[in-house]
Amino acid sequence: MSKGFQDCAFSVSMIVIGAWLWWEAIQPRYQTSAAQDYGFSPTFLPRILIGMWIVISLILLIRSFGLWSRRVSGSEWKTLGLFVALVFAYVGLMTQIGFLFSSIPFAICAMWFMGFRRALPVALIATAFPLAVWYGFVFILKIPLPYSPWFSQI
Amino acid sequence: MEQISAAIAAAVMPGTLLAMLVGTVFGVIVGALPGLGSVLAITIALPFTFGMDTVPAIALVLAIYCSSVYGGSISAILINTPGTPQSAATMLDGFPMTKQGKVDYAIGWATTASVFGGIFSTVILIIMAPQLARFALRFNSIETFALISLSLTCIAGVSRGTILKGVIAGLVGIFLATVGTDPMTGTVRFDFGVFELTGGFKLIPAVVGLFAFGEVFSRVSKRHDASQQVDMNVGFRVAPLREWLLRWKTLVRSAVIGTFVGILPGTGASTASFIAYSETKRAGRFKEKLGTGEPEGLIASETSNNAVTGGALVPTLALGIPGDAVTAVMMSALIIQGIQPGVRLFEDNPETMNAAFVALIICNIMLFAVGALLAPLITRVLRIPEPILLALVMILSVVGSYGVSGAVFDVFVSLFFGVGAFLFRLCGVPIAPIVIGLVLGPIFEESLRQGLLITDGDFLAFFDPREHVIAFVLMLLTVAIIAFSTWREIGAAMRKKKEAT
Repeated sequence: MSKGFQDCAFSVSMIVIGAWLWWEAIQPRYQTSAAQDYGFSPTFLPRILIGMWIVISLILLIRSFGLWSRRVSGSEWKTLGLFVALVFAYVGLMTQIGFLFSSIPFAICAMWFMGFRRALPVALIATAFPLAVWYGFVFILKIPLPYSPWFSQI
Repeated sequence: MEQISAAIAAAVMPGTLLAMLVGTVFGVIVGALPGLGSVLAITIALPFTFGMDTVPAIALVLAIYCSSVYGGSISAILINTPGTPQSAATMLDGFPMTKQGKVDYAIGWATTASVFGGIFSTVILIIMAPQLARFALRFNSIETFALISLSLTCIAGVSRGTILKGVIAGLVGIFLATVGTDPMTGTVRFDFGVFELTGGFKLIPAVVGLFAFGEVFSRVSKRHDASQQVDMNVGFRVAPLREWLLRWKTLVRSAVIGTFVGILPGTGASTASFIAYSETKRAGRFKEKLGTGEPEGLIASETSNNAVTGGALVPTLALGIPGDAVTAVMMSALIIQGIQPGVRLFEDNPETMNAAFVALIICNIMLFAVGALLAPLITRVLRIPEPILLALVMILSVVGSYGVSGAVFDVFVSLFFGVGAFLFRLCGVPIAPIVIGLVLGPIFEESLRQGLLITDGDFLAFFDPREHVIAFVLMLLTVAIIAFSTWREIGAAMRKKKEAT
């Protein structure tokens, strides 16, 4: 990936997001009476911030055209995409079957995914660590964690 | 003299010392766990104080307060995730030191700086609490706005070479801080129909997402390169005295900043650490190396955030005004013990307060011992193979985000920020400015809006030297730093272009 493409993609994204947020900031629901907001609407500061980031993104965009020849290292998108999907699945599963029952398979999958595939240590760590965290939070710190539909605290 | 010896005798009673030791160990552990902070640590301990005598109860709460602020630095240094928001600035140099294999020194610098900051502010608290509290009351929203503007200039400092992207990241951070209910009108902003966003983004899930999730995603996306692994010196090591002497000005300056910011109601340790970091970036001996694993950055952050502990007690004890949630909980601990903070506190309870001050100094000394004993155990975590460490960091971060308010929504917020941080890193955008914006944004907006109310909408009146001399000086400094950073950046770009041609 070239540095110019990197900067161009970033600045265009920021301009698009900025334009969308600006449009949101000028919606009638944010218009309050002067008696209520003392002459400064609730989106007074956000509009200044968005305006500034759009202007700076434009400068960055213009500057990026001179940087197309410089190369920067890329990323393994497929690997990352799969890992992010795994994390989302873990959090989703946590709401359904609780922290402990979702963390054990997640820890196994995550370690395996990142290249640590020695079965016994993986199984031991993936069981012991979530168990210790769960016990520490629920019984020592008294902070409830998501629990399964089958048990009251697990 | 008689009062002092009575205070020392009360503070070194076995029961009081035991309470301090338990409080210190507990505070360090809870502070080091991402997502849990000082408020939670003190709240958990509060029921235990009901049956205790007054001095041990106060000593327990003070020990937890000091050590939980310090504890946040451990996870910031080890896994690039601050245990508490107060340690967000610690990551900027702490984690690079870990990457260089100097974790033992990093923990040593952080611990010693924290102890110095804590003791310094306690001494200030003892000597001039009532006078400082009265001065702090003169610091209104316009002065606060100028102070926050000055500390926002550290965005330029942490974005060397990518200043435009750094400024955009800072603006994004401040914008994200405006999401939720407007403090002046009560209007809900940018919630997009999501009820959970009406209260805005909570700091902990956002910081955990930006740093912990962002770091894990970033490592997963790159091929594992064994040659990049460095030998890790685990343990605890205090740098030689000559190293400290080279940085003594930063140590003292950060302690003064921390103490002063702590005195101002509504600011807090996170703000103090970024102001001290920003000031070190401007005036530090090794300012050019800040952000690359320079101990001066660690000193700035850790000295100032622990100096806040003593500073924050000034208005809490002398005026009965808690500056933040932590001191509010601490105040309730005092009230439970039958002590009413306020202007008559020192006259009504001299023995108890003197004993509490001595206890605060002992707590800070104990903090050093506990830090030195726990560090060799805790830092061994870095010898765990990376896939295991990353998996465990993910689980701990998920729990940390969830634990803030017991809502799965916060975990999704962390994921959102984590993915965002990864994309920003991919585009070469620094992440630290987003956190700086998120931390300072709410105070920045509130002080700006209140200032505009005071001056009837006239922004230029903020800088009238006849009315607001402190704000005028601070803003002058801010403008000078911005102009210097811009000039330096343009100069560097032109030099690069010249070299290329």
